Amino acid sequence: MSDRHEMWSNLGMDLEAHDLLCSVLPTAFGDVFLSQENRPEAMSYWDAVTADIHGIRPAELVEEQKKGRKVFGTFCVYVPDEIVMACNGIVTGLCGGSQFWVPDGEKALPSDVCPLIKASVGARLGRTCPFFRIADMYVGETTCDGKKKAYEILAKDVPMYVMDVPQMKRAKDIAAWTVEIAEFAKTVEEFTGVELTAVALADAIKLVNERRRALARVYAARKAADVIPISGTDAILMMQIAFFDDPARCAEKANALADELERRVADGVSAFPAGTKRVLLTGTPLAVPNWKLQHVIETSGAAVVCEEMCTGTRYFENLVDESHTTLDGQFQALSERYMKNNCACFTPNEGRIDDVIRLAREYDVDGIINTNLKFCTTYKVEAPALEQALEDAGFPVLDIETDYADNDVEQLRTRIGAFVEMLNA
Amino acid sequence: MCSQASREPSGMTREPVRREPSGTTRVSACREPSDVPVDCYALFSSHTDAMALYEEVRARGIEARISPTPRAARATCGVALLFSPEVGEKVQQAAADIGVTLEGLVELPRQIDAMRDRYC
Repeated sequence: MSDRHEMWSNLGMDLEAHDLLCSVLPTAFGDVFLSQENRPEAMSYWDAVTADIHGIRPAELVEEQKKGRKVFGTFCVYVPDEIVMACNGIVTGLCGGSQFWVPDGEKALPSDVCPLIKASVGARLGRTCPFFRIADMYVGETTCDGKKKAYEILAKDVPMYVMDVPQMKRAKDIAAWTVEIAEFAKTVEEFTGVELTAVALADAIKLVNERRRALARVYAARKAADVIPISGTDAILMMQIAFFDDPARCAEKANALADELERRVADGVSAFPAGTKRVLLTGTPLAVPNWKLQHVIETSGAAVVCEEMCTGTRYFENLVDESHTTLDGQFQALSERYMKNNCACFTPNEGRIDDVIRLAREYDVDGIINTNLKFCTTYKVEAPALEQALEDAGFPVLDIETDYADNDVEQLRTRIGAFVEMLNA
Repeated sequence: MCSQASREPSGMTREPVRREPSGTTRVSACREPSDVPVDCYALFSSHTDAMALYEEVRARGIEARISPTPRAARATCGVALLFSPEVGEKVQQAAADIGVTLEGLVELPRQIDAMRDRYC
């Protein structure tokens, strides 16, 4: 296999520490993905990308940087990729889904901060994530207090731009987000040295919409009532990698997967035995390589058929209006689309309740698991209202709070197993 | 067979064996009972070779999967092809037919355990 050590060394990574992470990935990946039966053939693409997740895509990004392109690392689905892409920049996700990075994060952050933030900061400070080393600029957003303060730490040695996400959804908030997008565009123009044009932004809007349509096609196949053509574990891997992949290639591969899933639905080919209970997973994001909860659910007798989260439907639902021909109109269209996302950072956030109930019906689920990462206050606080509304709508609900560590797996298996047993009763 | 790696009689321990293309053999330190299922991993110099061979063997109807390279086989991150030792010769033939050079072939006791519950 290509030896990535020279690249990692050039990126200033801690090779010895990073090697420890490399040593656990193959086993975890094999246990979660290669233990599955009857997977879609098209998953081989995501298997390969994940097998060399710190090699294949980072090497591509480094090559593009040599051509003068800038790489922007982002943390959240509210940052409009279209702006960066229209200025010939590249958007990449950043590391944040492994317990491996948490201890380094806790050197700079209180322990009672959510694991996603601790892992992100730890991945940067510990120099064990190539994406954090490659990115020329990080783009944050004010979707939670923990991240806002973490950006101050990250900004000490990397250019950091923070977008001010409104916390309400009134007309003036959407207008404010439009202004915020326009100001972000100025920063991206200056940083890349590329003037933003309406033509380039229109192309970027179309491309990102194509990615959204392709991912939505994969999810649409999961709505089939009698067949579950793909595991939730495989689907979440596709979503996780989408944040890192070239957008055109992501759309191409997702469409190929959707083609196969549609054939499997037509042919009655399921990844699970007939009668397997269908679960919708909602809550905080599952950043790569956080596969614990999906895997526990799907090895406990149920199948996840939809994820209502940032690494799920929120990433691709709602298209940006492609009809605008001026930058001002396009900024407005972007604002309107991104503000349709229903994150717990908003008050009120009844739109999320509507979304979960709508999706639960569309995906014909038997039950719903609402999960939140430990210390994610906003999701935790709105959980009771959400869960009550779901129960009122007739859906059994299980509330799960967890983090990246392995030490609660037995408890998770007990609780999820009991929930599935109840669904089967 | 995945390679010319030897199998011990039932009840004996066996050593996972790496067969280099040159014919030299690297033996890993771990030992497993011989009744543990054995998998074979083909190693490559690039992920594009791995995908090319994967697509070729699947087109030939041979069961194989893309896999991360197990640490017991190699000390870097990487992409490997996972298959049963029983189809090893067919995989090697497919590689030869399409001009993909294998960096190595490794037989290992089954590395996959869905209930291990050890995550990244």
